[in-house]
Amino acid sequence: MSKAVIEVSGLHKVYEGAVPVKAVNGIDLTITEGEFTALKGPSGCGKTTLLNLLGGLDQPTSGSILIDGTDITGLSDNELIDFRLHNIGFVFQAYNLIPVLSATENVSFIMLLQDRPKEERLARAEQLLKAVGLAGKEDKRPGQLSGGQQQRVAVARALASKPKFVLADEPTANLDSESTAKLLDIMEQLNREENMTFVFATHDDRVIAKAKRVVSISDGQVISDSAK
Amino acid sequence: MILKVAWRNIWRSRIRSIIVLSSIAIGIWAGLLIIGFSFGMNNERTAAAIGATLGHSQAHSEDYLQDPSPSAVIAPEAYENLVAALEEQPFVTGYAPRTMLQGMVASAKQTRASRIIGVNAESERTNTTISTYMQEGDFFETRVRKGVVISEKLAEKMGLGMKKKMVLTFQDHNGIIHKATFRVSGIYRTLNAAWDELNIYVQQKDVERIIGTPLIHEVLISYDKSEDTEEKTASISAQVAPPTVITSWKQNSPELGFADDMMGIMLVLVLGIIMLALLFGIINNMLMAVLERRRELGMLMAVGMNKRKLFQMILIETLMLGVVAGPIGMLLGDLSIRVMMNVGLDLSTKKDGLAELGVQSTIYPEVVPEYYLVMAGMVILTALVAALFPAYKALKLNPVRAIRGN
Repeated sequence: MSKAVIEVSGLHKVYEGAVPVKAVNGIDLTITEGEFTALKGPSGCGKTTLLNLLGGLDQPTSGSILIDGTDITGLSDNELIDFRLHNIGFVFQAYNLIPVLSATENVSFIMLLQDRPKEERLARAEQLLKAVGLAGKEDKRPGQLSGGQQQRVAVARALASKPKFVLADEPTANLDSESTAKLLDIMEQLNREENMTFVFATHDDRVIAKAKRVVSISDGQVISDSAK
Repeated sequence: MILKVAWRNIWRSRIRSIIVLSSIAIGIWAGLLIIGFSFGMNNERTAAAIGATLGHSQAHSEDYLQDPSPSAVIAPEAYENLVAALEEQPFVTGYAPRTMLQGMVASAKQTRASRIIGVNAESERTNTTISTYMQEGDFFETRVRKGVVISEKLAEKMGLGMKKKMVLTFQDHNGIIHKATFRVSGIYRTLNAAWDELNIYVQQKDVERIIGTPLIHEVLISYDKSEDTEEKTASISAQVAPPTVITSWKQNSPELGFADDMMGIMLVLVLGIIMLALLFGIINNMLMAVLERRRELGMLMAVGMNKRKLFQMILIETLMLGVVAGPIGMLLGDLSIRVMMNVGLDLSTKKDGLAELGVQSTIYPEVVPEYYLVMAGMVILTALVAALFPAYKALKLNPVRAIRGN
């Protein structure tokens, strides 16, 4: 049996205001190593909030989040930053690459934050860019790449730190069909060949179709959880 | 790679960066010019005063320093001891004994109070530059009995010219009043209008004939170089017994000494003001850079860039502005000073006002290498301080909101 990478229980996130908003309302969820999971639901259902909580980017109002056995809700800001650096890969909707760096430099930057030696950084960046189909584009800056290519660089960057899992928030939202298909193929291949765990927040049917497990969220609650 | 990122980030907004780099370079250029001209003006003023009238140090009797009366003389035996002490010092290049009398000078037009300086013409010419300031006649080179050298300003006020007579009235060391007619044999104009208005020169031997005895109130002492004047003066003092006292030019002309001491402080203040202006320019530039890159900074925090590294990145980026603009400003400043050292800054329209300050109308700047280091240090310090607020704003970003662009 595969080991649980993420274990969430009794998770709540309430945004205080004139009218408190329950963005996450009592979610229990376990994701095991090697899963290719899509969190689906309409806009405002709470999937991005859940993803931010899983990534330690936001703190829950109550509940616990165990990542590989560590309860990240008890970590300080600095501990969380360090935890994210070594355990979680992120892919954002808007790619968020550093525009002044080349593809190789963008990928290796995260390894620089981990204080890895230069030779290792460059070798891994080259290997990852090749894996996402960007061999030959290593020296291109984000502005010289298409949206799909930029998102593939972002995937390579997410994998560069050798994380326990990758969180991807609407990774295909800005991509055309061809780029989306290619990106999904690459992520599926990485999942299959390297047993990398992927969790997507999406409402893109193309992503949902590729996912091996689909967790439907509505009003901050899991309404269905199905594995293919 | 952090350095590479910082360098490339500077050029992301090329025009904005060029503007802020230019403002830093211009600020440094202006600062160096101010330093160069201030030192040039002050050193020239000091050198002129030391050369023409003050000497590097002076010897008096203790009484003279308390009350410069005619009776406060350096006694003949004390003078002999002083001369012996001076001749032992390798850095003393010469000395000139003076008779200093307060008196009245009268022409057909006016009577005025004046200080009458009785000089040994040859020693005064050798040890001061007063003879180079002659506008008419000479400094007692032509044999004239009872000649007087007055300033151009005094001549104008008293309606005197060459070979005109004037009456000098003064008191000797015994309190006896003497009156004698002198003839103008030379007219001088130094850089110091205040000195010119008060002082007239006569020959000691003429005063001696009138009074009947030689009187020495003051001995002007010249050194080989103007550096370490205080130490050299102290070294002579150690060889001279009371009541003879040796005082340096800073003690004899406190206003010049004060200006010399204050200039360093004033220049640091001026540089501080320039840096303060630059500070806000750099803060503005970096703050805009941070706010424009909110998404990117949010992403970096999200993927694991800790606060120390984020702070470091912004600090390096800000320092780089100073590191790039600093040498450009210094090079421009140095080149400008070296050009101006030959050309000079012509302020002849303010000639009279400058003369009151003892400064000539064309000012030549000087290169002051130690201030280049001060300037470099201040630029780095300014950049460091300027980085603090933008870095604080960056550290306060919430990664989730920043990634969304909020």
